Amino acid sequence: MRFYKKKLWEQIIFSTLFILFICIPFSCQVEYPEVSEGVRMPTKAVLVLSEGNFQGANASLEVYDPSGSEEVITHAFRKANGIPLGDVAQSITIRGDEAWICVNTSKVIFHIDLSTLKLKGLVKNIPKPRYMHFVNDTKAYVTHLEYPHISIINPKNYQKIGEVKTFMSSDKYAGNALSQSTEEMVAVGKYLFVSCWSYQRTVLVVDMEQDKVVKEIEVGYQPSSMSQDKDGKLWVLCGGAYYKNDGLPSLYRIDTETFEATKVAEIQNLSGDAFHNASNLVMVPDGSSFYFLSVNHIYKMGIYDTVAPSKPAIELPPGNHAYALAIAPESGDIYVADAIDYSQRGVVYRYSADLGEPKDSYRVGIIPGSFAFYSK
Amino acid sequence: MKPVLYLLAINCFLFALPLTAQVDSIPQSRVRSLREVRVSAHRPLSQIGVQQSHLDTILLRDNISQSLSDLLSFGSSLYVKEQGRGSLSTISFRGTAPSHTQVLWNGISLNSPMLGFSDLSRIPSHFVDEASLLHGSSSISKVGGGLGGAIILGTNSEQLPTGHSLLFSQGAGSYDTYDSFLKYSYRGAMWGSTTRLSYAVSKNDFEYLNKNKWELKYDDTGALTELRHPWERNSNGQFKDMHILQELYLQPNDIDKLSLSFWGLSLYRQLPFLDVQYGDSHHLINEQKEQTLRGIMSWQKQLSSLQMTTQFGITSTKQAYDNGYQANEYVEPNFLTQSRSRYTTLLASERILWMPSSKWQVEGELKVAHQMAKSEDLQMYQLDGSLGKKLEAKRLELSAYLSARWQPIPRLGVSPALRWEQFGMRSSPLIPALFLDYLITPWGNLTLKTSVSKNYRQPTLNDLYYLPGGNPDLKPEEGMTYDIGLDFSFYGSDTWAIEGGANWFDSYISNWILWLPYSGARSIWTPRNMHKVHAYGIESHIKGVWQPTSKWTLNLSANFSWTPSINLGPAFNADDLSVGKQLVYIPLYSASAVAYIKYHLWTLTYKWAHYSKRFTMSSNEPTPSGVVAPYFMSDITLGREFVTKWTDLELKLTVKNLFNHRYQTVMGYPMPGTNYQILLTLRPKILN
Repeated sequence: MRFYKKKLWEQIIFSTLFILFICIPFSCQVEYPEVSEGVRMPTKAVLVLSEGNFQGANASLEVYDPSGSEEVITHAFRKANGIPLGDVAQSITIRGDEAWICVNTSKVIFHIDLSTLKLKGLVKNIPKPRYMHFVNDTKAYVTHLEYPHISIINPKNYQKIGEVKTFMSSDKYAGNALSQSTEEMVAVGKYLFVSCWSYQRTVLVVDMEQDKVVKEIEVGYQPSSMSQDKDGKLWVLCGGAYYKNDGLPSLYRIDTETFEATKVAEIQNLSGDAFHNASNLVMVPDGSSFYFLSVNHIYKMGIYDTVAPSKPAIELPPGNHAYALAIAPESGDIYVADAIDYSQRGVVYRYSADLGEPKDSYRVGIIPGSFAFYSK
Repeated sequence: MKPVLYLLAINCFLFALPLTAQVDSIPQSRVRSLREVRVSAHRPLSQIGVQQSHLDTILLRDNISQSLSDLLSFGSSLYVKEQGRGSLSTISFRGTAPSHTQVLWNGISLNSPMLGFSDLSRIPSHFVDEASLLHGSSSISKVGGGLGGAIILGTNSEQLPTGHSLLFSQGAGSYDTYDSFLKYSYRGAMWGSTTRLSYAVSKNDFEYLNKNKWELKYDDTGALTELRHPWERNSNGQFKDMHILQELYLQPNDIDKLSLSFWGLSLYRQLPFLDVQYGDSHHLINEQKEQTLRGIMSWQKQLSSLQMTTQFGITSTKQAYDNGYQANEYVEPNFLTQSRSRYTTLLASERILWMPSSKWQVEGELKVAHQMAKSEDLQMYQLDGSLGKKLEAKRLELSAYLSARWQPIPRLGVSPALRWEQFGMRSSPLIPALFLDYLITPWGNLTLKTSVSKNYRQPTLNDLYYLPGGNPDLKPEEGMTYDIGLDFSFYGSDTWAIEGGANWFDSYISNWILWLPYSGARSIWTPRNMHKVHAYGIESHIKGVWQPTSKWTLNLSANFSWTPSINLGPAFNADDLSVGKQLVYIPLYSASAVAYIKYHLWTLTYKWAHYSKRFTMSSNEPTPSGVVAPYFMSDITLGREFVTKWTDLELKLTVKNLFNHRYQTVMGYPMPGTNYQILLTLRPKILN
């Protein structure tokens, strides 16, 4: 093989070009700094958990001080811990001075200290966690989407210690029970009532001493939120099927002693919207009435009413997409979250219990989906 | 000012080099390379006012492991949104949505009739001989609905060498990645055949430092003792792609030309997990499978002033997507989603080109497509009777196009055009367009091009009929686009050539379709005609080739775009901060460059791409999760040819992500650091 002898000018051009191209990317590297500021929690705080977009990895936790300063700490989890909260933050449960955050698609439960929001530990590899209910310091139940069990974890060491199978042998869904999901939980005595939301129509009764489903109660389509009234009855809000002719949203009342369910009312489609729904049943502190969301409106209903309300209790700003609702246990203030376009930071409106003008509004994260109230 | 500076920086750099050229006489072989820069003093009538850019053949042939998304990342200034090799890859053309770019291969649409867009990662570059971009209005000459533009791909029988030829490439790369490509072709006096086989398999399990997670350690009491960022692997990124393409050509005389193409593909892909995923990947199922067959028969008849092309085509696709959890290997998995869909498109078209004189050309096309789609989610079907309705949709689509091209004087070209479309029972209004160009000066072929057109994109089958949530009352998205730009080309003494252009575009798109849960919490996602969007900006490109001696070839190309894409509202309510803001995941600036140096038997290819920051929130707030950082990407390939008696052999070493840049194109999806590939290509001479 004969080697070609390079001329000097060829060598110069070749080398210059190579160096020039190598230099371009070096001169343009951009690095974003990590965020890891500390957080000083107010004495009283409203914690707002924003789901973020599915597969968007942009869930967040905002902290609001309702007691005068009305300051909002945005991205509080990230500021305290230097990492994002994850993908689709579903619920926050406060126990003493600590909180547990279920992050659905990330398959993790974060345990944080409420004085600093610093991470204390985490339960990982847990199938799509939705809600958490503490039995005691060493036992808590976790519900799941797409997993036919309720997990039992030990919050002390973050380990899973057992499971409650969430379908019964006589279950009419037994043939496809492997897809059964579980949602919100309310404990009454030794029984835990668990709604089965995703495309289902049952409320399960779990004996917490045996860790076993002892009863399955049929209710309306897609039961989600539940709350106990002052008479001890459990109210269940069923979101309905997705088409108006296939099952309207409905309210059921369950006798927690006999496990009998009574259909109290259907929630008519007053908006004319093709896709009717209802969600977020929250009881007022004295247990005499409750609020719920339906097609971007807030409705109020007394526990002895037999017909669903036909008019909204609060006029929300037009064009809102009401996504979450909560009542502060001490003040009775009503908090409503508006997801706006589901792609920007949402807004929380705070109304006094007398349903007047909003007392306040503030920005939180993307798709604000749940609230928790904390006081030191 | 900023876009102008970008433009100057890139273009000046590329201009500077060739202008220093010394002019030698060149051998015949170099003429082929110079043709890569499409320098032509003659302006074809078919190109009057058309904004079209061609992807470099050097890029098309650079690497068998490339897909169309790699090609476009480095060979254009379009924004390619991807989650790594083998994963979904979509494109934003002129600041529009992926469904606003139409992708055609040999005349068949590759856009999914259900989703509306095309996954570019499923199109291997070696199944494409020619690729070009029709920008904005210019796309209506080929297809309707390209509000951003169209990507025109095709194979070309005329490039086949006479006789038998065989090419085999085998690549091996980081993360257990193997690519194989075989091409056999025969070209005789009257007929020819090409067979291409492609196979790619990879674990794709690159390692990365996950700064979005902490790994925790506890003491015996459960108290936290240590935390650090973990090194993790991209544990769900495996893919296995197989493609086969068989083409037959028959040219019995000078008038008739027949061709038949079949493209079959079988894909298996895992969908990568987010970097905020804490689940054990061994328990998680998130994967797609696809089998597709595309067939097209084409008959072209060339008479003295008439060219007629008749095409019949079929596309049949079967897709499955599973998302679930499997607690252990002894139990059945629990699925959240088991989606199964199948769609078939039957296509017939007739295109007639009439050239009564050198100054006149009339083109007409009639296209009929019959879309049939079935889709269901097995899980929903089992659990909820109201959701057990399978999507079964059929739609007959008609499209007619008529265009006249006239050059009243040599310097001026005028081309009015009309397109009309009927989708099922929906008829779009006539789509008018006007294209003009004017040769300002023969020096450098400096040509002014301008156009104005309307365009409509019909809702997809999912938009209309998806269960639950489809909205049969949707209107088509409506676009109005204005373009004006300058093109130039220089060439000198057959040793160098440069071409380039810059273009201003201005588009208004109304009735933009947006999927949202409009009814609030826990409601169904449904599409509505919501926003009006103003997408405008500058696109520019430049290409140059220089061959100072028989042993040297230098080829440079660069692209730059500045693409504001602004939501004009209406606002949902007074708190909506999205109006007046850049659309999410649309970079304001994007640029790419390719340098190719051939010296004797050595080649060096350097590819570079840049995207500015992308907002993830419609309000464009610069929060930590609101911005995906800008990045610069560099790939370099060194090649050496070896010529032996029995075979030509080429060895290439490619270094991807040369500077080990930590980057993401989609938030939460890490991309691989520096990785390597070695590629061996054989061209046996035994068959010649």
